[in-house]
Amino acid sequence: MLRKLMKHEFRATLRVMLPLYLLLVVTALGARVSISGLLGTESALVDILASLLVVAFAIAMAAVCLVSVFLMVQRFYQNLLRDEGYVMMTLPVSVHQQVWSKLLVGVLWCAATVALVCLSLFILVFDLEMLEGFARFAGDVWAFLKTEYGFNGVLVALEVAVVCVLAMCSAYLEFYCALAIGHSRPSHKLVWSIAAYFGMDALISLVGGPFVRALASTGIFDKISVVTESATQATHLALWISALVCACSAAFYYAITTWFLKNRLNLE
Amino acid sequence: MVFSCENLCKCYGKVQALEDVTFSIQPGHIVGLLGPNGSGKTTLIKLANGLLTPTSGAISICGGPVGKESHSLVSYLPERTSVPLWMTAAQLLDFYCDFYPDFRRDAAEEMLRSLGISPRQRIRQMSKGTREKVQLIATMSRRAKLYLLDEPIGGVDPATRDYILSTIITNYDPDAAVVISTHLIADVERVLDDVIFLNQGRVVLQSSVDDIREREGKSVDQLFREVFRC
Repeated sequence: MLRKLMKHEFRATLRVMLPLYLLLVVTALGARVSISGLLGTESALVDILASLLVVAFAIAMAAVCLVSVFLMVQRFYQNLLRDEGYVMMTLPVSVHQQVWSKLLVGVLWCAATVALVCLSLFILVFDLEMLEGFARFAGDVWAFLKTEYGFNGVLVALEVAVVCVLAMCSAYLEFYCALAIGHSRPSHKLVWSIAAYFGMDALISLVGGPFVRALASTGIFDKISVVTESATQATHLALWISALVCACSAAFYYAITTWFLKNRLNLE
Repeated sequence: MVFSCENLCKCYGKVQALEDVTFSIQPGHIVGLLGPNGSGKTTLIKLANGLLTPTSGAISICGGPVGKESHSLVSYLPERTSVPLWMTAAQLLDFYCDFYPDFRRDAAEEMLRSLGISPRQRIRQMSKGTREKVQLIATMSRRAKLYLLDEPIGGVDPATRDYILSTIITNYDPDAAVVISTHLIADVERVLDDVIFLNQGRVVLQSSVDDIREREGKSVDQLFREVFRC
């Protein structure tokens, strides 16, 4: 059933994301043409047109990034907590499958957005010589890190990716959690949702700060710095701690979200 | 029993929406859940669909609790248009086919054809009445054990009401039960086998329509007007 939920979630989001991605690629091509030939000509009209193409690309890039995050939060709200919730929450699927389908599709769209933004930037600055130069520079840095510090680039890249995905999940789940709490109220649901979002943030700052200070007072961080013999080890450790913190916060928001959807669902 | 409630209570804060509701519904019956606005009809149907949790008491659907399993046995028509508006009628049928193995796509397509609704038309582009018909078609095209229809004829013209009622009686499985929640008694009376009167969250009457006619010598509509006279 999760697969089917994801299929329909993709179908619902594709109709928004695909045109945006096309727009981004087209504006990137426009900006590319503008940069490589149109800017700095003697004609003021061509100059203005070229500048507009670059501005259009910048706007398209910002729009794609914002919409890809906003749409996934809006889908949770619209599809589960508003009128469509009457259909979705009476499907023969569990609340966990509902939340996972939204979360996984959201993360996949975010990853696709990052890839598309990179591609559009690549289109914008594509220059074979520069590309070769960059590849050489990256290769040198990679080799230096490996020989000097025994840096396992592939492993670090994987760890960074894991941290990014978990951080993304945690961010989405915080929105879901606030919406689920807010929509358990009989009225002013969005106001309650916003209050829940900032309330949770405040609570985590309130509890998190003293918790880290208490942890520091036990001397655990000193022990860790002794154990980590090199910069490489310290990097790995920092990434794993980041992943753990993101996973814990995601699990916290997930538990609250599913509990409220199961026990305090209150559709209008 | 297809659907039963035992000492069911639901409170919204200090407001008691349902109070000690107990009844049971047999398979093969079309039951009218009747009551004035605010009597608790929608709350009861939402509880049976797991959209609300009871404050106390129990609900049983085909002998089991409300949950993921009961959702596959119940076909629910909400009081408002709840199907995603961006979908076309065909996409909506795909959606129902994917999640409900008992969904009869051929029956649904036939009903769409008979109403002249194009499967390619987006639900957003349809009129309110057509949207309600499409939602009803999706609901009634299932071979469910229990149909819970919340105000299926509210807010539509008399011709559409007739269409909706005929769709209900010609499409439900004879082994299933149908619960129709409404306050438009005169329109639904002819299709009902039993009635449950709800008033201020309490069951004030559960009876068969024939009994009401024989014992009281009145139609359900007349009895309703007497019971709920302001």
